[in-house]
Amino acid sequence: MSYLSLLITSRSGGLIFHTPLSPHTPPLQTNDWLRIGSTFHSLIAISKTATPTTTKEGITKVTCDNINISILSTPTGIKFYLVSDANVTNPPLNEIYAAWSDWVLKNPFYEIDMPVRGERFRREVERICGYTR
Amino acid sequence: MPNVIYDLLIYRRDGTCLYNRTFTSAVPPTVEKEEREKLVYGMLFSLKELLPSLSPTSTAPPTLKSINLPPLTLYTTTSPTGYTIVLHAAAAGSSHCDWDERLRKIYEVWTEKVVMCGMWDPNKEGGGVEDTEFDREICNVIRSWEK
Repeated sequence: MSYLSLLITSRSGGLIFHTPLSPHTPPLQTNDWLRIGSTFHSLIAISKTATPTTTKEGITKVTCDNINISILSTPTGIKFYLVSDANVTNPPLNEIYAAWSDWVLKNPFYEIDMPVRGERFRREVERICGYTR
Repeated sequence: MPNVIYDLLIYRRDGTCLYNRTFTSAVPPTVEKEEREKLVYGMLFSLKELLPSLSPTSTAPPTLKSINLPPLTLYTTTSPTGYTIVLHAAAAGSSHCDWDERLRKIYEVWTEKVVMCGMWDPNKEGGGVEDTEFDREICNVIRSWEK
């Protein structure tokens, strides 16, 4: 099992955190990550309108033949996107959310909806996903 | 738990919806039918554009198979000729292989009853397959899956 990357977007859809979690993660420019994060945010909003029934969460998982994208939409509007191999069955999104609460939200210098700069959260995410740089 | 099939949409390669059939209507639609068709296709198109950027560099570009939208799932496949089939369904206990087979079956019926039909114009505006042999056949197939 392997995780490829983690993205986090703010309430408005702006990318506030991204990190590679594998040496096979494609090397993208910062602008590419920003574009991906905002596009996903928009797609989740569109999916709530485009489905034939009501869905509160929108997209929670995208399944492809070789990768999966698991999405956690929190009540505060923050969204976590974890890209992983197709054989990953239980992505640790809740653990990552808990780490977010501990190492980002409880940081007195962190401003809500701003990009995350602290290394401690990144190291915690890498520990949860079993990645060693 | 029986499957619940909500609807089936089939698109041409340029995004025109050729077939849109609702089998189970859960809630009154909040957008117009044509608007919804465009939203669904646009969502899939945007996702397919993003996926190669996220997949490992050493593998082939990923093929989109399904999107989980609790309480239902969107299953999709694209034929080599560019027809995109989209099926909204709610099913517990079904594997992806089951749905790959089912989408393949829908494509077989589409090819047999529509593409190979000499009366159908593939470039005609709107498609026009709502009330035809294909429609009757696909309804029978869908109903058999819901049991």
